[in-house]
Amino acid sequence: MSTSSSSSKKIVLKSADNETFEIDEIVALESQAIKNMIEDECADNVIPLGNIDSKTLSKIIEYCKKHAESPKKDDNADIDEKAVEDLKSFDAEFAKVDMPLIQDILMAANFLNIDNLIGLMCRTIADRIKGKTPEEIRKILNINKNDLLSPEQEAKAREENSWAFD
Amino acid sequence: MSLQKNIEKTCSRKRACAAVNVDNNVPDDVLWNIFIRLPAKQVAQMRCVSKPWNTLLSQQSFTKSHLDHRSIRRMNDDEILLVFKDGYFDFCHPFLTHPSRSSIIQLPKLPNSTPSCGSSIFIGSVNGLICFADYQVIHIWNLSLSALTPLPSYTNTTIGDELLFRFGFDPLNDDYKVVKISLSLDEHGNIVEGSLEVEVFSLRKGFWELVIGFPSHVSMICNNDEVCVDGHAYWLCLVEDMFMPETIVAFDLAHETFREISFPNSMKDYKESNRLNVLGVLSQKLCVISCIHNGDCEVWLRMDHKWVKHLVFPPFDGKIMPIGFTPNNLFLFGIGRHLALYDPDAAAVKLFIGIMNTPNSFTKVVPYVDSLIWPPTLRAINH
Repeated sequence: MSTSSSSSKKIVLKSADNETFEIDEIVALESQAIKNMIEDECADNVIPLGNIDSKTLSKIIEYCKKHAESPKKDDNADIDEKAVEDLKSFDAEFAKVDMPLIQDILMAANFLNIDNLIGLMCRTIADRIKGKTPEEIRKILNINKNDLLSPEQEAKAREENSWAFD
Repeated sequence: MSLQKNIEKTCSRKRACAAVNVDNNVPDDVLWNIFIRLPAKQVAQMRCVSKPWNTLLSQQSFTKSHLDHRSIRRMNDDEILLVFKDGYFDFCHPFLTHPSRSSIIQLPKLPNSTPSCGSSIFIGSVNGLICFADYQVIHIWNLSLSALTPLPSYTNTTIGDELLFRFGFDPLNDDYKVVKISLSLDEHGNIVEGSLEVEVFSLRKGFWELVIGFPSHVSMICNNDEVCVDGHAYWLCLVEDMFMPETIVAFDLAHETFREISFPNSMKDYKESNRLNVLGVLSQKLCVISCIHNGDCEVWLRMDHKWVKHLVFPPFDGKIMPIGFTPNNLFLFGIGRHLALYDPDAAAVKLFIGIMNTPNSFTKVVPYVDSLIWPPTLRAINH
């Protein structure tokens, strides 16, 4: 597979709210799901993403653009350390958004199968809930009330791990 | 065919396709990816957050993934080591191998009164479980969870008997075992024939059992190096043999059988009587660290049932007391009044001043492992 010949090809992504985004194919290939579609030759010019809104999708495209431009780790052993640092600080800035958007990006990245982005969002969530109590975590992640444990179940979980609550 | 369907088809292995409603419906594999990054104690508390979290975090396979994630990360991160001077608990100090670049890592808080300070003797440590004996009662301690449980007592042992213990992991049965050897010594310090008895406690089964077959020609067991690795417990032993007095007894923790491993051939030439040999673990394999007084230190690694001379360290500045290797393959030893760490790749020695005074052959140093491991039998014993 030659990436140079396909780099000029364009792909159009359509968000749930019917906004369209024209991007280079090379950027779209950051998504394993889209890559598989293209390889299976079942992608038309416009790919509708009925479950991703335009706000989330534009963030995802911003991420994929940056990562598609950067040299890949396995391409070459001599990667420019500056490029690695640059990508790191891009990721750190990228993750500075509110929790609902982080969760939306994570769900969309999981749907589109973008490994690095899934990892970045999981790390971000883990960092934000680190050291927090179960009550605080429920608030931060806005856990669905229907999913809460009954008082009996909660008492059992606490008893089985009583040492952890010292 | 709709393209939406196509995407769902191509990533059908991912559960996300089914749960496309973005709010709150985070699939299990993604939650898993978040949870393995958090400290064990918090993860244990997080079972209370919600029903799906409780189900996910109660799984044995999660506990294992959480541990595996740590051993991968440890390669890049700093190591936290716990030191037991003289093998006793009152000198249990946590310290970092590279304190300078470790502002992010928090050292584990030891309980105000560590279990029975001063009387508890360290036995072994694996996967975040620390095993120690306190007045002949064996305890298992998970420092990261602050969980501590005594084991049921073993069969009576005659007063005056020597007791030696090992604690190891049997990966074949996913079991943890304590091996107890009791024996009597004669006036020369040799094992009285027929006095040696071995008992094994399986954390899975929850009871002690007698095991036979310890090589009977062993006259002395050197017990300074608690080595358990690769599903085996090892003892450096002496036999009455002019040419090759040292041998290694291996105990297979899964099959509960003994066998002997002879020393590397070139060490059989025993002209260098100033050699100090200890067993250790390097790259998850058994090794022999052999130091010649004022000379080189050789490290022999046991690979595919053969000894391979793996490393040779140049003489250090003074007499050293080899202790072992850290999980990141740094060589730890006592020199003079200090603990020191040697990095074979950088050929650099780092002294730890003020950690402890005068390490000796009983000094134990183990890596601190943040772990959720707490076998169900231990919960049962506790209740």
